[in-house]
Amino acid sequence: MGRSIQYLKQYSNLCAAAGDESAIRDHIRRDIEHSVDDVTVNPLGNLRAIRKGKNRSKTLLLTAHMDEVAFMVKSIEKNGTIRFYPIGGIVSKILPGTSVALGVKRIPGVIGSKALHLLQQKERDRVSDIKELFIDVGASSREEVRDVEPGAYIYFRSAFLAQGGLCFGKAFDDRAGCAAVTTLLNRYSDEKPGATITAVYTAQEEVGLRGASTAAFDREGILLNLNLEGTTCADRDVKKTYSPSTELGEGPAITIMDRTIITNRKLLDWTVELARARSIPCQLKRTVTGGTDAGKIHLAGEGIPSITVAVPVRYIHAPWGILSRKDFDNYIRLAAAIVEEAHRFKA
Amino acid sequence: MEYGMNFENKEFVFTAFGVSGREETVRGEIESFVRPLVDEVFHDTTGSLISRKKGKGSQRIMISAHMDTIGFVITHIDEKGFLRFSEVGGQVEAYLPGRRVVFENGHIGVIGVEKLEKGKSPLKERMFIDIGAQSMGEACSQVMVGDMCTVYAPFVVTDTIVTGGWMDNRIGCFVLLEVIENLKNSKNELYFVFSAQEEVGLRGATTTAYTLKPHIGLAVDVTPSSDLPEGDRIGSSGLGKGTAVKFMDRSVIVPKKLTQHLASLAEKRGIPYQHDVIRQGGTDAHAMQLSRSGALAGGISIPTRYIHSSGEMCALNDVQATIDLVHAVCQDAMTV
Amino acid sequence: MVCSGGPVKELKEQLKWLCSLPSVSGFEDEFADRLQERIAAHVDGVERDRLGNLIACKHGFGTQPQRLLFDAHIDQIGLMISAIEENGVLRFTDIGGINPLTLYSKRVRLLGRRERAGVIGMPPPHLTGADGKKGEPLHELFIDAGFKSRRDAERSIQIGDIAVVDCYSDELFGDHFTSSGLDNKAGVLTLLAAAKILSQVRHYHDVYFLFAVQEEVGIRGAKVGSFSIEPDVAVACDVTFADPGDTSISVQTGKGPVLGRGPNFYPPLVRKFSDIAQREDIPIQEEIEPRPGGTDAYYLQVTKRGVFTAGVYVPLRYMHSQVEVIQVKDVYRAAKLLVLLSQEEKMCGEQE
Repeated sequence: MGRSIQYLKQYSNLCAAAGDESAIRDHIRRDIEHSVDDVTVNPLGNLRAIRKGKNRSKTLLLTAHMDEVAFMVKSIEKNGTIRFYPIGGIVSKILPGTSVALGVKRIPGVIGSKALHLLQQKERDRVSDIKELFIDVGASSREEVRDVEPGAYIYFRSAFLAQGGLCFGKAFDDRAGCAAVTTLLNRYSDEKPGATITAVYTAQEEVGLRGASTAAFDREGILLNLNLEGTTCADRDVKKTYSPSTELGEGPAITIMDRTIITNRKLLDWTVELARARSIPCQLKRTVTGGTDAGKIHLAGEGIPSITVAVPVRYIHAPWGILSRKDFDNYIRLAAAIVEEAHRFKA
Repeated sequence: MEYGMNFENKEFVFTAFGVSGREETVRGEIESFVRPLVDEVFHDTTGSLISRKKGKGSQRIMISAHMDTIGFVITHIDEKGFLRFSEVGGQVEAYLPGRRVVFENGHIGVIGVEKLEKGKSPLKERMFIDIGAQSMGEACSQVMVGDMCTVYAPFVVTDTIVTGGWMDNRIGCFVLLEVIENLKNSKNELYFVFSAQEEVGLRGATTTAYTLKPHIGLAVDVTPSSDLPEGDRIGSSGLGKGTAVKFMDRSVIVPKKLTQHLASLAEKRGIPYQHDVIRQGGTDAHAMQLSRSGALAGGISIPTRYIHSSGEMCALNDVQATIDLVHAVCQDAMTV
Repeated sequence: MVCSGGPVKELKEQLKWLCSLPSVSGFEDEFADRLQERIAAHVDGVERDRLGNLIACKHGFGTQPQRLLFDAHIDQIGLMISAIEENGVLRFTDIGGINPLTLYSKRVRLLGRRERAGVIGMPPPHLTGADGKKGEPLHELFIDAGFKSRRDAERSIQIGDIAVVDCYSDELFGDHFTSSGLDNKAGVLTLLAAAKILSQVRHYHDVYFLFAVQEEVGIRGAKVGSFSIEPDVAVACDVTFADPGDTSISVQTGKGPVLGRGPNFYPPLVRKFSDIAQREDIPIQEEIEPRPGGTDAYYLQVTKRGVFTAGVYVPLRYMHSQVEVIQVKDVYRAAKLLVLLSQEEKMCGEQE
């Protein structure tokens, strides 16, 4: 299990967002090349790795997305501050006071925040829109800013930390999924899986499931798609009469439904039963918001049964998320069981 | 007025459960009914039921009526046995408080609302479903997280109207069943599709159209009428004025050659019809039009009042006219 | 690169002609017929698909040509009649996104059985009092074509007929040109100009021109057109915002075509356009698009296994109003960029 946490640490520390996934893609490629039979990159930037199975006519499509939520430089003001756009869904109220890294040289900056002492009462209660925020890199004029230009990507600066059975870091959505896929592929470097595994690390999920739209094309005999994700966990935030979405420590969460998919009932029941048979603790995701790559994949071509299994992450889409090691281990166990048994599933 | 329609032998289409993504029950009933009447029946992974009637003509025609209704999915069961839910498809908030719901397994519940601040309207997030359970344990013995339910409003047929909670779109399915039942021969290769998951994004029709590769696609669905006192001008049709030939909705603009063909077909057969332009709403026609390299797509709809309420209402003569026009399409060469 | 007289003058005439022909989304057939007539002589083959897209193909001379798609949507926003009142006044809904505030007091062309003129009524300022300060939603506006009653109207109009705001083209100072429908007749002209030049030069790749329908109502034509053509590389030619006085916009008319930058566009391809522009002394601008969407490029990029995509846009002021403004030389520059790309053996490098 130590290896998979290593992948999670390395992958979550890397910076990659929609349209700028090369850092993680190259790293993943080196991690899996020796275990698989074929590796290609498509025009969206998806990394596809195929490991032939004992039964060549049956394929399991295994997916996770490489991009994290981030920002893009919009303009550099005359006074040296930087305006920016979000890439992916971000709630602006978490941003003031955040440390970020800009451009390919990862120039350090901070998202400016007015000191409490200087705020009027009205301002204290108001959440600033992203349009009103700015990043300070220490420059006092546009000319002083080096190595940052409009269109450059901006990332959270958070470094992975393991403590007391928990992992703290950024981008667990969806480096957890990427780490899981890499772990699973490397398990089959010597022995062949039952069904052929087509693993696609997709690009640009956070800006509209773009990579996923092309992930299933041209693949024959897909039995099912297992989509590995990181998902919302609000077990600290909500009242007891409301749903926490998922709970930390209760195991990987299986999606019943979200805005982009209603999970095929047969596949849902099969997965829940498989978890029970292997004594793998798991939970059902108890909210139906958001969307994942499965939303696009299940409607590709003539249709593909697709299921999303996710590790609960507190404070997702923010600089610091928390996941439980126990959940992560069970997440990989459940994914592994599905990969092992995929060739037995009938839609 | 005498109608050719038979509601009795097709009652199942108005009573069998089938919320988006969980259409197995109604699909099974429809399959049993159509199997002896068509040449082939099968369903696909997204859940649509496809029934095929062979024909020698050059066109492959897909006629799609969605069999899913909107509903609710249970997301959470609290300690006292109350159920939190989310909508499946577009529910109208104003219609919800006090509504009765029925689950797939037959249990009944009522939608309740938390206490409201004065002057504020209820939001879906502050609603819950009450099935009369006294505790979480008791609730869990009846329903589970992930179970779906829908409005409980059995249908009623009078001399002039048919009304109930599931007219959208079981009345469309009814039209297809009537056509299939009475169709002697078809000019072209016909696919009567009872599509799944329309209410959550035309999902069934998307994969089904990809599989069937139709030249022509027609959606048979309800369409909002605009004939209420000081009513919202959402569309151009009215109850009792005939079947609604679709010109445009927010998901499809029907090509002129198709609207002209359907209009002249209706005129030739003396079928009352009206031009249907709506500024909100979409149908399976969109999925069929944009599949692969494209198809000619349009709609033949039943004007309906109070869509997504428990009292959706259609006029019987509009239903008859819709059946007649779809029937005419099946017997026409449809070289458009 | 000098850009005056000759080719630009001819383009202005063509643009006036294009803008005078209505092409409302879903009703582009006649306009596509005219385009087909115009382009047939410059290409090897022309066809129309089931949605009405016009697809033209010009084979390249290279030893290993790729499929290069140039796309421009041919449709424009318009209105559809949704009701005829007892007093003969016509209600309508929009086809594509229209700000109702741009409709007051406009003259329209009703394209029913016979073409008729109408106006979008507006009560005179003398009578509006306080109500004159607020705009109505679109479905409360109406077209007055002088009909005396519903029966009178029904002689020439039916529900489902379309209308388009009347077009006045004019030349303004500083080489500016104004008309309604420049979104996207400017893009259409870019393709026509490129086709003409391509018929006279040697180019490496097989070029497909996709004159796409129904972009304004959801990018529908490009989705199916691209599926049929299955390009390796695609370039969407459209217009983009160049409004003066909006401090968040840096793009200007007359400063060259605009390259889109962001996840919808393949960076090595965008860089290739930049390199070509620098080499040939063609001024270009860039626009940051953090989220894919807004042009045909949205669906072009995700066709089948994925397509290397770029966007080349003509800067335009007052989009979706009846008084859109561009500089025609930007169209000529955009056309040149397309032609030069088709001559590059290697259009884009490896994915990084």
